[in-house]
Amino acid sequence: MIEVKNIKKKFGRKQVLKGVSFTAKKGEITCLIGVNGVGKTTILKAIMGLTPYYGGEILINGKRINKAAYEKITFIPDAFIMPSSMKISEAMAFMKDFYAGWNEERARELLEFFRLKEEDRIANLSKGNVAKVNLLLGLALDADFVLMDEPFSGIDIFTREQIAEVFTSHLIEDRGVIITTHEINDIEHLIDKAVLLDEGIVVKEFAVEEIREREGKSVVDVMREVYRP
Amino acid sequence: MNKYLKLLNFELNRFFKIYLVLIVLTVVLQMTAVIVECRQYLKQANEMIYGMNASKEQFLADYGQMSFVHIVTNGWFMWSIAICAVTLIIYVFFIWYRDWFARNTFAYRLLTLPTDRINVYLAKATAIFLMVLGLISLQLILFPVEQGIFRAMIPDDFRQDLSTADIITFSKYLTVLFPGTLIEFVARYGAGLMVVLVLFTAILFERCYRFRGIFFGAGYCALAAGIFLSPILIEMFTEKVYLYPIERFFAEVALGLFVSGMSIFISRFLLNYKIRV
Amino acid sequence: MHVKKYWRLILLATVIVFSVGVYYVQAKIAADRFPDFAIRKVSGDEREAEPIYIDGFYNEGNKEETLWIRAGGSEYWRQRSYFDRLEGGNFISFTKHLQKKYRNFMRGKEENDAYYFEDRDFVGYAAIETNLLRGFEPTDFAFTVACLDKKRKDTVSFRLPVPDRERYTMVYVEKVHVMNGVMKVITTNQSYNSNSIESHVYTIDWKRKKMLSDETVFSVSQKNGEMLVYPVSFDRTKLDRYVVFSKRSLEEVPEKDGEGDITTQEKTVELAAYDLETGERKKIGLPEKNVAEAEPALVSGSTLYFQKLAENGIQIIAYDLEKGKIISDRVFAVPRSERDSSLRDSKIKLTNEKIYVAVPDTDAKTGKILIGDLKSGKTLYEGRIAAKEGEDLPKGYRITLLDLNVEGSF
Repeated sequence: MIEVKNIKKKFGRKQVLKGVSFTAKKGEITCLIGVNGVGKTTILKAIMGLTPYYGGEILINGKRINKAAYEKITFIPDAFIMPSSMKISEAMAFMKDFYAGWNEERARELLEFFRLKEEDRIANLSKGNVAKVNLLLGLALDADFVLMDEPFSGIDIFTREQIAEVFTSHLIEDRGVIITTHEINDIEHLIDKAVLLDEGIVVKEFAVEEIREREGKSVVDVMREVYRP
Repeated sequence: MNKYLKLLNFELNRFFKIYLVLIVLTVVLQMTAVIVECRQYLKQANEMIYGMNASKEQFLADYGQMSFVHIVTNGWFMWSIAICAVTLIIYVFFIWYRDWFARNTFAYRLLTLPTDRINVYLAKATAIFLMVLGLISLQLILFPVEQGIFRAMIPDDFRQDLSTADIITFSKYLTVLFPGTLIEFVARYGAGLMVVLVLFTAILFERCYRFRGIFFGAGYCALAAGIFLSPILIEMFTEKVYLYPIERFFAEVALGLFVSGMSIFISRFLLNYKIRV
Repeated sequence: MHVKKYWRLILLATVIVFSVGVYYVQAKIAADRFPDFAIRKVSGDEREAEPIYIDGFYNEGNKEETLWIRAGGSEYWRQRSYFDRLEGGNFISFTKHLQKKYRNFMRGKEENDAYYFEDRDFVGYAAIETNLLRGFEPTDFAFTVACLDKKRKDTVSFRLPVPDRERYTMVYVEKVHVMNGVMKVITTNQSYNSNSIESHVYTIDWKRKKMLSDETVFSVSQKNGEMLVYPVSFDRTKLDRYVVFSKRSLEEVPEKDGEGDITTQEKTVELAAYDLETGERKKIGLPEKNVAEAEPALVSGSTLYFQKLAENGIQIIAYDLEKGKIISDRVFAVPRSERDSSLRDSKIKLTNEKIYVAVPDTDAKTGKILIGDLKSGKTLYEGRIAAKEGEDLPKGYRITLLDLNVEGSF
């Protein structure tokens, strides 16, 4: 379980996070929802130890982030994160080299599924294919948690479909996923839990299934209530 | 340890193409220096002896024998060293900033590897250190080769043969790169490594605190310089030489180790708790 | 480890260790290849030559190196270890000797033999310490005085302004002497406005940290031609009671058979003996004309030795300060051959009642050594400076003799 407890963050004088708390469980897809600039990416970075925060703490399976945790949690940011001079095969070799939890078999499966060519250089890939490689490198790790930052933004419709397919496949199955988006429509049917952010705090945290069954509302309905008073 | 070596190997491989270019450039420039200097000397000799009917002895009395020192003080030769030095100095900064500002933000990956983050820092520092020493070694290997060409081009009577150590001593400026004794060599390049560690820490200050970090980094550099040079600064301000030379040497060794340790310690803290990607 | 994957790293590390290692081994071998020089006996007792230390310079084309020649062999700068090099070139000086014995007392004190005194009970120090940041400020002249009581292991240290210091542009400490509870500091001062040079004796009560007196022994104005005043050399280990000040004139004279070349000729004009024990000063009239042209070279006990180059050697005139007359006048003959250069290039050292002479030969490849007894006039030792037998000597090498030192006397 990932527990985010009361974390705060300032950019210059601007208080971006005013005490954000939520939890994400293994086997669930948790979605951070909010307008651009609300601090969704910052939260993911804070979980990964890529940006400092203050106030509270973040625990991963009960512990603060440490080097061993990086085998258990992986981050797929919006930008591509391997040197562009690398071939896809070299990027895969790099991951295999450094991570004990690299699953070569699954990597091959993803390679085939996305129809990527190993010998292609990252510098020459389209934005959609870069997103696919990102996903490949992240999901081929035997990690308990996967953090994805806007996986659907700025890519073509077919790629989106392919990625959405991944979410319902065995590649995700019992992992915990935290995903951010400012565009809920594409993934509303995929997520288990929604965390609505506004003005630096969590305004509502709810299980999607539960609210649908009990109150008959969709995520968008809840968002309307929250964001449009 | 294992991951550190992997990172080191990775950093070396990343720079390898530029490194090869530097090596080729050095070889080409230095060979040019050898040929240009030798030709010029031979031309003078020919003009004097055949053109103006001077005797060999007279020419030698006027111009002296040609020694390899003429070659190492030639512009082409000095440029080759200057280019390598400047490239590596720039790379001290580039080795970090490329991970943030290149088309892809590799820092995300480097800092989330399942290893202590300080290994990234140490691997980068070691890579710079090895690349500097590699070029130093290249020069040591090139000397005998170039001397071979020099001997082939200039006839015996017109040539003063010197050992590599002599050439370095008489060139003056090369003694900066190749000091007279092994102890000095180790001390000087050790100090060089310390400077790299301090600069890396300053870069990390900037990466953690951005604009404000530039001042922290500059402040840290000043602090490190102040600590390392404190025996000399104290002597300058109190106008007394308190330490015997040998004591000063060991004081500097101790302070150098201290400053290096302090840089690693602070960088470890910054990388673990303050870094921003 | 996967050799294939790490080949660049392994190659780089191997090349570095190998090339740097080979270079420093080769440099060591090249340094040891300099020819070894030694002093070889021609006649006399070879033990006499043992304390000789000749500072020299070796060159061969544009290859040059500082070297030291002793009876047993030579050593070049490049052959010294780094830690030896750190100690500097002058390693048998009085200061170095004191640094070894009184490491803490000597800490932070300037390295100049003239600033130190040592007897059975005390080590004394007086200096005008240089200000590294500001340089000299004329109004700043102050003696830094320190005295170590050897028995009580007690150190006194203080600063004392030089009396009338605003008058001087330069104050040189020439000799320090501790005796009867006071310290005598002998200086040569350059005065500011009248362009004159003065010899001073300052008496300092170092226990009460007070300046007791300032005596001017000589004061010469530079208006009437160049003049020099200075205290004559002495044996630091002997603790003699007399200091002799010499006043000399410098005259430019055309060379006898030269083509308009001008040389400077020094002449002793006046001498003054200062008794450190009583503070008495005695002016010494110059006995004879030939003494005037000789250089006062050493005070030993109550004898003042003059030296002068003669046709076939070094002329030494001994003058008794108490009796006021010449007691001996001898020439220490330097064996000569047609290869010899002028004796003018010879290095002469009078110390310990002996005369040491090193004369370079014209070809600058060899030299001669002579040691004589000042009292008896006997030649104690004759020798030659030359490369050791069996040395592989390069063409066109030269050695230059820069200085002659005698170990154990300062």
